[in-house]
Amino acid sequence: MRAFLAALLLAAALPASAAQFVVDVSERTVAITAGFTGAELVVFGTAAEAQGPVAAQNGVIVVVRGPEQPTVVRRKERNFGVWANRGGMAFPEAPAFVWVAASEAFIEQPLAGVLRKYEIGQDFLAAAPAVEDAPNLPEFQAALVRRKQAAGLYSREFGRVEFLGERLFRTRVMFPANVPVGSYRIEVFEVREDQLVNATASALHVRKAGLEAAVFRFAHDFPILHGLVAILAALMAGWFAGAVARRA
Amino acid sequence: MQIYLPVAELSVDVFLLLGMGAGVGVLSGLFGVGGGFLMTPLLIFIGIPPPVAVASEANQLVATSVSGVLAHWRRGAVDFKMGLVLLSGGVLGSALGVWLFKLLRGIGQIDLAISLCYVVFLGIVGALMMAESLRALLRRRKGVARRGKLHRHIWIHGLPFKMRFQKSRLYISAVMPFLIGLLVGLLAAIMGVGGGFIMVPAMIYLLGMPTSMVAGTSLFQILFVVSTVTLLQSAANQTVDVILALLLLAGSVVGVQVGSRLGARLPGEQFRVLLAALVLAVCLKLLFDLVTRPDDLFSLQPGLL
Repeated sequence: MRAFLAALLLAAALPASAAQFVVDVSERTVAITAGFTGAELVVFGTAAEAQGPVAAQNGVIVVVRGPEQPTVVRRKERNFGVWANRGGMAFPEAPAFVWVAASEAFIEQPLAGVLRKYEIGQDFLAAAPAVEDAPNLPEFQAALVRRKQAAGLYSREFGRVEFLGERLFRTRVMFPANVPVGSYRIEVFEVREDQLVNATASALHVRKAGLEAAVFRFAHDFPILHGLVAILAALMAGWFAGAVARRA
Repeated sequence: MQIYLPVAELSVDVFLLLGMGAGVGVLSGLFGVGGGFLMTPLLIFIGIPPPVAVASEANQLVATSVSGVLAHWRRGAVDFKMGLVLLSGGVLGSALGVWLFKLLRGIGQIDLAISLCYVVFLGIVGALMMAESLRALLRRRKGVARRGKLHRHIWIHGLPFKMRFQKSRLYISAVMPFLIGLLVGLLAAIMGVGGGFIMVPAMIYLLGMPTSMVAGTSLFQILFVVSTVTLLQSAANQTVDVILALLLLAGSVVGVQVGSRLGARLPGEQFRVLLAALVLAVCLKLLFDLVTRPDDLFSLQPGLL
């Protein structure tokens, strides 16, 4: 967040570009309904400056970041022959989802430099622990990224930002079926000769819709009533099944 | 066909859930067990978070037990007085269990607690069942029919608060059924089981109830205990996924009918050996997972320390 604001200020301080840096996304909301198996969105836009022949240091980086969620990373140790959780570290603001794409020129080496410089992407999340001076912090941070990658919530490798002509670009963002609900940010950076020249951010919402949303809200807003309804539904189903079986 | 489970917050194949319901249902019908001890670990194996698996399985067991109770009640095979004593312990036990569940979840030990409970109880029950059914098989081979004593006087009969249970033709202390109910309620809340696999042997061997009353009375107690657990889990942890419970239920309803018809035609003793082997297999699998080094020592959990 801090890094992003810095980048925005930097971009604002730059001389006005020849053309506008415009970015948009194919959908502003991802609705999770009963048959949800994941979603694919397209982030597209025009770069302010023509890319020209593919130069190693020019291109666009797209970062999609999920809502920040308090997360505990636990570590197992062997006790009396059994592997059990011993010790953990809390990260109050770990992003639930991170996805990064970059134009082809950046997927090679120079990208890392740019990313590190502006703290973009999951390796530079530097999710802060709840306690300062936590021991073994890098180990726990690495575990956080690794487990999130295993769950398909952090991208393992960079997606591709494709250029169609000199200025028009686009990239596909994949949201898996277990994508967490909440507000997402789409951050797009234009880089020229290793310098950030433009940055923009827009919002995206992932929410439950239809029956799924109703059931979830009911379970959380009226937990006791929900429990009673769950029991009643099961009682009726069981009684009905018994009655049918007796007939048969 | 995938379906998104609103409380578990993940999407699962509908046919996988229906199939699991049917498969466990066949075993339930065949052996007259609730099947929670198989279903809950299965749900955890396919990636349902353990708190949701336990609570939703309790919800499903409400349906499984109600049709059983009604069937036994029609035959007059439910000792309501005994059931109420068991139940008073059961309600207290399940409240205690849900509270303990919340506590263990907070300190990150709930998965371990669930696994350990399974290993211990499945191990004990499986071993006892295996020994008992093998002995029965051997006896049948030898063709010796021994008759046990009608009444053995053990320490249990010295406990206070004696009560008369006409239907079961028993005059025993209410303390023992209360404690059995308490333990079963506790296990129901933590393990997502009905607890029949513990209660039935306890009723036969510890209380000395006639076998004709055991199944109906234990189902009566289980019905109310799993209902209590469903309500409390929903209220305290919001972990009951009705969609998940209903899908499992739809499968198990069919499975139970198939199973009970199969059971009528198959030799009982040999099949009890199979059930015991199945229980021991689940126990060993869970034990194996506990003692082998996990692929990744780290795991994530929502919330803060």
